[in-house]
Amino acid sequence: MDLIIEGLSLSLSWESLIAIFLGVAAGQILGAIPGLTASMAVALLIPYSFYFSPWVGIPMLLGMFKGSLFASSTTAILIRTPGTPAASATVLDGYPLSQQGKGAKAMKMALYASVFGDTFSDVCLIFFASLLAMVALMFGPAEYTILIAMALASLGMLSSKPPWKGLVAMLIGVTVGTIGLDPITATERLTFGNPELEEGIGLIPMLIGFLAVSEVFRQMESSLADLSGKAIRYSEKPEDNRVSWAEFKSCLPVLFRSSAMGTVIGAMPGLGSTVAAFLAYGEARRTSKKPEEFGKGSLEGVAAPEAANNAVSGANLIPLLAFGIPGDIAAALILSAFMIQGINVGPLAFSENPVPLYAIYGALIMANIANLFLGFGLIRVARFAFGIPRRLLLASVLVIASAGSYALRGSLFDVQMVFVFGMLGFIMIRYGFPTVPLLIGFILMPLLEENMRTVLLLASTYDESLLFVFSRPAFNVLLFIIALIVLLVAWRKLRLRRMPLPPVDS
Amino acid sequence: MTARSSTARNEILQLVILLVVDAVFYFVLIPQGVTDPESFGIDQGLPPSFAPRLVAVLAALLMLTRLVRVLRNNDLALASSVTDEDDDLSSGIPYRGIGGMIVALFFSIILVPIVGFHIGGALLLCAMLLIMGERRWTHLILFPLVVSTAVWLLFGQLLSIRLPTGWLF
Repeated sequence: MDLIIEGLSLSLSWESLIAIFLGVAAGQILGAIPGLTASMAVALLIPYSFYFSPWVGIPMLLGMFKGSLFASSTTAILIRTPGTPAASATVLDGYPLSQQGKGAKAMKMALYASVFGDTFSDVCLIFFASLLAMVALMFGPAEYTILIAMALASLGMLSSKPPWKGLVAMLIGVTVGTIGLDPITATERLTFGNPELEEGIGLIPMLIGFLAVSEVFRQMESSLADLSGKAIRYSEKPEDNRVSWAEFKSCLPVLFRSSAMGTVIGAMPGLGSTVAAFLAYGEARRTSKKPEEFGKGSLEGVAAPEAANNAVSGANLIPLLAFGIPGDIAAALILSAFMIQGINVGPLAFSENPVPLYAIYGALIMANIANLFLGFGLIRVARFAFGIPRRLLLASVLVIASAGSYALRGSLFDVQMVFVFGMLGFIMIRYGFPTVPLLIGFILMPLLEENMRTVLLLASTYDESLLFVFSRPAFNVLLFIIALIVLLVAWRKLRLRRMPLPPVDS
Repeated sequence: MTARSSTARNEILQLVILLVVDAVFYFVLIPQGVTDPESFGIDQGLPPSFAPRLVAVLAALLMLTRLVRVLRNNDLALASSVTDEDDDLSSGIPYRGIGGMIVALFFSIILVPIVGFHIGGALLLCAMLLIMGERRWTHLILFPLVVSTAVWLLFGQLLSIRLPTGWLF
């Protein structure tokens, strides 16, 4: 108990609290800029954190990481431009809400969901780190393959009417995802000798191009009166600008489910917050009582991806703190900051010197509180900033988005790709092809291919290939869960078909 | 011609174009763009060309199935339904959108390598505003200057990210 109090007193000192608030504020500013990811925000701050004591530098980094994740949803909701890839699923329902004048409501829901998901995963980290890390370690390429294949199959028809256009869009995304070096043999694929393509097409240019730039080109067709009017219009009804308790309560099951999904996915190295957000969105739509509202401005559709992508941030630290294994780039950066500041993590840290770990737990919780308070400020600032005339906003989105896309890899080719993808996105939207399934295919394809081919390579070393996958308990459990879901969906559809039609006058 | 048959005709046209693109991808681009290493058989896992080929085949199957259904007139209810993202902005020739695309591509391919990102960005903003009907010179000059300065301060000074320079600046 003394050790816990000692640890918490480190993270609750006034220097530490100021550092957390500053970190969250900086993260929220950077996260709102398209192209600057949470990992990049952390990487940018790391050199500065070394000038401070560990209990100023580390809380600042953690605060920045959390702040940037939430802030990326504000631009996703208001101008269809996700600040980070993790917020791309939030576009699906956040942007329609904003177009209905309910942008403030959507941003507040995103804020509550972000803090909820963050806190949920932090609590899991504090109480179940070792257990979750053990479960995560049972997941290998076979489990990843079946999980991602299931996600691709279920998400292919997202926001698509007719469904074939969504599936074709997803297959185009999958094809673009194969460009670059082959993940197993490292031979060039579809690069045609262009060295810029060897690393593959960047996710940031894809997201910014297909979501933001295509929307700018589309909005340019508005009437001149609309273009000179306010960029974002807010409803004057108070209920359209806040989230009522009843609305929040109705989203609670989605929040719990999505946070749990985000936590489990975050604990598994390599999948990341973007995958978690799309999976949670698909699951929320599948289990919703009003699935028809998804894609048209559903609050659940905002809550699910936001809770999931923020839950990943805390869960990413589970393998890091329990075993010293970073789950993703951001966790690896945070680990490097820990090491340089002389903080040991891993199984021995819990028994030998747990005080820094308790201090980290305290800082994580405080960062969530700071995120909540500063988030309201950001929403107010966003309302003011996007009150400028629409044509000024549209033009500046192009410049800021191209700067953001250049920032990650320092490549002018990425800037050119942003506009090429913007053009393709514009054409796709005009002919009724949704762009989001394309992005899902692009994000999931490299993961699926790499894991599937690794499984086949591993299986080829066994006399009976099938024995390899079916001897894995986690694979069998996943297979059982997926079969159960498929059966439930089929049963529900059958029941709906057998139900008598309601009388016309009802 | 009814609106229904016109929608079906449009969909058939889209499917045929996509099938041709898919065939070009499978028969021309994949053989030229992917070289499978020698003796890379199933016992060593799948070859690098497997994924693109599989995607092309799946896409062809999907589109052929759809084409047959539309041709047999069985599924026109779906074909004639309005898509989620269709609205009044999707009708007519998108002159301003096309203008914006040309200017944006000109900015990224020609302007930035010559005058650099900051000046190129200001010119892009100015051109975009002109396309969108802005005629007040104060807005046309001041706004691009403000945004370019903000981008320079944020990326160049605060985050130490050097945006591309051109031959001239």
